[in-house]
Amino acid sequence: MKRKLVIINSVGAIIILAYLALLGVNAFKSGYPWSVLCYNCKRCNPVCVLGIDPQGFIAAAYSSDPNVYIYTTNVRLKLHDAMDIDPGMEIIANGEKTTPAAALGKIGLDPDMEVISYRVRARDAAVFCLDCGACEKACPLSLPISTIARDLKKDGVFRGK
Amino acid sequence: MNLIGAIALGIFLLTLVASIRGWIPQRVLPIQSALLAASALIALVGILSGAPLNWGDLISYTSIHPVTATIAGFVFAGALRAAGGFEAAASLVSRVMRLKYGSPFAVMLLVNLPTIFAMPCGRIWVAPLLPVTILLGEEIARKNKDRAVPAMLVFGLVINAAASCGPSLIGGIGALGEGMGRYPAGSFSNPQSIAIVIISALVMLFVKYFYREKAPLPVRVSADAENRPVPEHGFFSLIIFIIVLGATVAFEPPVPLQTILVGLTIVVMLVEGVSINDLVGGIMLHPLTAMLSGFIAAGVLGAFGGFTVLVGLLDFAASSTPLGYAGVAVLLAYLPIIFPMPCGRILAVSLIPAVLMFGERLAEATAVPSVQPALLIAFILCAAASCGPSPLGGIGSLGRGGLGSRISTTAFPRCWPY
Repeated sequence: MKRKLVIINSVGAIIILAYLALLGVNAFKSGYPWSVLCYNCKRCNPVCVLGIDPQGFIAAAYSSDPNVYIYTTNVRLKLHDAMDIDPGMEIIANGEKTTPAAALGKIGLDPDMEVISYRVRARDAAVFCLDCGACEKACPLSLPISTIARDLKKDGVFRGK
Repeated sequence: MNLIGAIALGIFLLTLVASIRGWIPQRVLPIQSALLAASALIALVGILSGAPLNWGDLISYTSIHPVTATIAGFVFAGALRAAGGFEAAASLVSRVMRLKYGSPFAVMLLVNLPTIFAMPCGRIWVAPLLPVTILLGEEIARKNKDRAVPAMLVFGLVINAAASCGPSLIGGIGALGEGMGRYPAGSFSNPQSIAIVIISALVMLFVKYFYREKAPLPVRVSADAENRPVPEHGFFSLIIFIIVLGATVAFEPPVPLQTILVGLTIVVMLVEGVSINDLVGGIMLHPLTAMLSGFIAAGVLGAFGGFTVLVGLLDFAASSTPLGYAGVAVLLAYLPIIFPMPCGRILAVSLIPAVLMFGERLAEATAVPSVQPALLIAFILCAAASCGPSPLGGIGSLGRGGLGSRISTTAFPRCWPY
């Protein structure tokens, strides 16, 4: 490998390793350093009656971003309510995946129509969360997943912010 | 169709195919740099087109567990090597081989060990077992005068280890699929384990009878492993490693696997006096950086709608071509093998929702409800095993490196049995 390529590729490898370090830093910054321990096994997923993917809260924590979209596949709400919460969330209306903005605008659906959520922001999913703790019981490491949802439910930000 | 998503998907697939086919020579731009450059290009095109890039969404595609578990596995492999664990394993294998039917038993046990004690990343087993497998292969090759044996054993082990993250209950790809599909934890483990044992045997047969010319090996005449001196605490290190990992798989303690491996490393360090340099020597950066760059690329692709476009294309193919839903479902299941990434999770995380959707439609069309889990298991197994044939820093690279064989050519025997 030529010297220039060696430098370019070494810088690339360093950026990749720095990215790994960034995830650790983010986890500390958000106030949930344990989020890096998650197995991402999704055992918490089937137990949520609202269809929320609790691992999404953990991914949001190590991304240090409560606006990360996470699967929330079983919350029924009026279309206008979905629009008020987040016009960009993914919903299922009439069996088709869309957004509240598109459903009300381009498609022209009734604002009082009942739709089902599909992917919503972590902080919005936290508002729906029933805080039943089923996800924590299902987690093989017993990670305190619902603490993230509780913190987000309060003011939409992580504990560390 | 989302134009930015289509461009992003095009750039990603082009980079992948160019790297796999060698159009982008690895000596010029290794896969990590190629995927990083592709990610930067996709992000640039997206931002210039006015599409917002949510950094958090990008990061959320990254799965930290396989990366840290692999690092911990490499660190422990370094300690095991320094403590003489490999010599102890070779000595044990050599003793087993002297028994009646000892050779087949030793081969069967060694090749299938990664699936028996399934770890979240097969590299945890391959790193310490590879030298022993090569040694065993050379011994059998010498006795039977068959030069294909070392390659047979190594690639049998490689595919077994690669796929073993499928049935792993401690954070494997199978668990990911079960969770996303809302199936009970561990419900897919047994069928996957049985399939992996069969696949490993098929790979070994393929290496022996079909790829014999492509994986030739000069058999080095090794000294009898039994007569090699085993360091004082070699057996202790090896036995504690197997017992603790076995107990971890059996009892699933609420302690992260990484912590268990680090704890084991500290015990071996204290007992054997292994230095930090020995541990660092065990770490291989290439698979780690390849895995991470794959996650970064998947994150950028997901953030700009590339995967949505891919699912849209598959949906179009299912409804408008003779392939139909059955044909596209088969294509979808094999997608991870067609584009083998250094970690199956890179595609699995993004495509499992599509697999579930196709499975559901296929189940409705055929009136057979078990079609959905069957398709999901097939996809998971292909995704889990895809790091075996991946020429981009997959587990197969460790095997090829260990054997000193040519890059890429030996990827084929591990693709075929699927």
